[in-house]
Amino acid sequence: MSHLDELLSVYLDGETTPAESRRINGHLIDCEKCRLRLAELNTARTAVRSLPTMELPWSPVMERPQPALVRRRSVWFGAAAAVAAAVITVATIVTTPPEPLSLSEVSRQFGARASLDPGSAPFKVVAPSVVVEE
Amino acid sequence: MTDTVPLSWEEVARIHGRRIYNFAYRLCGNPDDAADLVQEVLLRVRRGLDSYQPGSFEGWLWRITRNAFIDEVRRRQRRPTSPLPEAIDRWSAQSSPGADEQLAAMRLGEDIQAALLELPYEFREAVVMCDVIGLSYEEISQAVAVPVGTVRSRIHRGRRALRTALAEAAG
Repeated sequence: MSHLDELLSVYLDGETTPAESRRINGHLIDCEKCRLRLAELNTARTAVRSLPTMELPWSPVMERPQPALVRRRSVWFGAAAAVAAAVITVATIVTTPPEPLSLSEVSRQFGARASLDPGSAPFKVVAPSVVVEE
Repeated sequence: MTDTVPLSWEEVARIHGRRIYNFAYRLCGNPDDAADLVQEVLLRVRRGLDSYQPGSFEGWLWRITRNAFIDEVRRRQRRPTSPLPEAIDRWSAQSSPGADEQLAAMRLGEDIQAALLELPYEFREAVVMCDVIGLSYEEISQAVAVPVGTVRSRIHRGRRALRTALAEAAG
């Protein structure tokens, strides 16, 4: 008896001609070996067909987003901005000399404060960076 | 499937985008590569729609998809269950002792995907086109540009190898 072999897969897929189907049906009645092969092929076929359908991670009619790139870029931009801000701050502190106050300026500032706070003496406090006018 | 009215690019993307993604995902097992392939295929479809000759749209689309996949593999150098006819159901049920139990015992998705990836490319492609995408033998023949007889053989040999791999995975 000649066995069916690849015709069994064709049979499973409904791709046989009517004549082939008649032949296969007739053969399977008498051939246990081919019945077993058919069952095994059907197991493989069913297994692949049972795989879940995967969903596209983005809509195919929209431009594909690149979340990883966007996230990476935003982190780098944030870090760069923080560094830039720190550099500017440090540079400002380092490169800007403290402006010395003149005595008349100290007098004016403390005098103004004294006028608002009558309990405080205008010249009690002397700022360390005071430069006396010559 | 034979048609006379070509779809717009957006319709192709909406209707077939997920199928293309699943085709690529089952062939390569990598979601990022599969998503890249969808993008490439849709670009090629967009460019090719103007020159599309009415005929088998499925054959045309899957030929583009298949070629894009192979191109991508070469470039990188890296890396719905249909009801059976009544007679088949009868034979399968009678002569399949323990098959369902074996199937249930497998870590299904992972084992099946792993077994697919072990197949030679031609067999894997034919099985995925038939059992994942649901193409007919004729449509597969057009997409892959081989005779229907070759398609029959590849699907059959692919399933036999899969069956062996799955049985081994099930212990």
